[in-house]
Amino acid sequence: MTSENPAAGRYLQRLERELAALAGRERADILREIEDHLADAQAAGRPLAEVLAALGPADALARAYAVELALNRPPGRLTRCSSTCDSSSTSRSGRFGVFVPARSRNRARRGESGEMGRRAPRKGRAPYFERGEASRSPSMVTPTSSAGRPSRTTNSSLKSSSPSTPKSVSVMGTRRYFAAVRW
Amino acid sequence: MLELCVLRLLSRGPSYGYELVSTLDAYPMLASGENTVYPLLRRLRHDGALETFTRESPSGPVRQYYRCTREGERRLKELERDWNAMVSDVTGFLKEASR
Repeated sequence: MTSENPAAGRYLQRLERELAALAGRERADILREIEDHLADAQAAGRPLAEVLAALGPADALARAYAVELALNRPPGRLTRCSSTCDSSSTSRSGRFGVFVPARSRNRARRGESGEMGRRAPRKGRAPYFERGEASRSPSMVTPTSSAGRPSRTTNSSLKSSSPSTPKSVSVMGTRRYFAAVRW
Repeated sequence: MLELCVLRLLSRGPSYGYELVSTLDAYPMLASGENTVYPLLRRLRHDGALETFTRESPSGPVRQYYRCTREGERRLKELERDWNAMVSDVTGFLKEASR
């Protein structure tokens, strides 16, 4: 089921690079799933370009995986994410700001050593956060700061990241993603 | 909310990624793009709410299917309860506040 189409191949290669920080098995599973998705979509008659556009840029998809795997919220708590995202965590967690998962914060509270995010069991986390952090000002990641344009963050399509501004895309992508989770 | 919907879908029976994405696609308010559903599926699997197995589809290739575990069912119940409470609270509040 290997995608013979060069565009699909390039996308998968890029995704593999972006997922490099994840464990090999995890990465292979993800790649296989996306590859299956491409094959299924094409079998259903959807044009590849459209399918790839719907998946969004490979780096954004990789980041979505990284964030989701880092979240690890306790089950069944609808409000949990907003508490994880609240701006008060910024002061404690420094550069990781709102993206520090509850579990890491608990670890930090218990005084386990190591730089935040560097010694996480899934080694894949840190690079994604760090990469995004460089282009992110605190006001952009604080959920309340987006209150001026709530409808854009909650309902705008996750598929329509603009390719022309990669940096803000990654920030926006992440923020939208959170908006979706909180909703 | 997407988590609730995914768990509900899978509690009815196993399904695979593309099928799930296509089903959820009909409900734009869920914001269920491929780039949210797949990462969510992976997390739910990590959490033990879902498990995967491979099965040959009657017409096509071997696919990775997801199914709900007991933990998933438990979480589904919790999420449904929370969601119903939220809907009822918000509805009540809006009614009260618009008087």
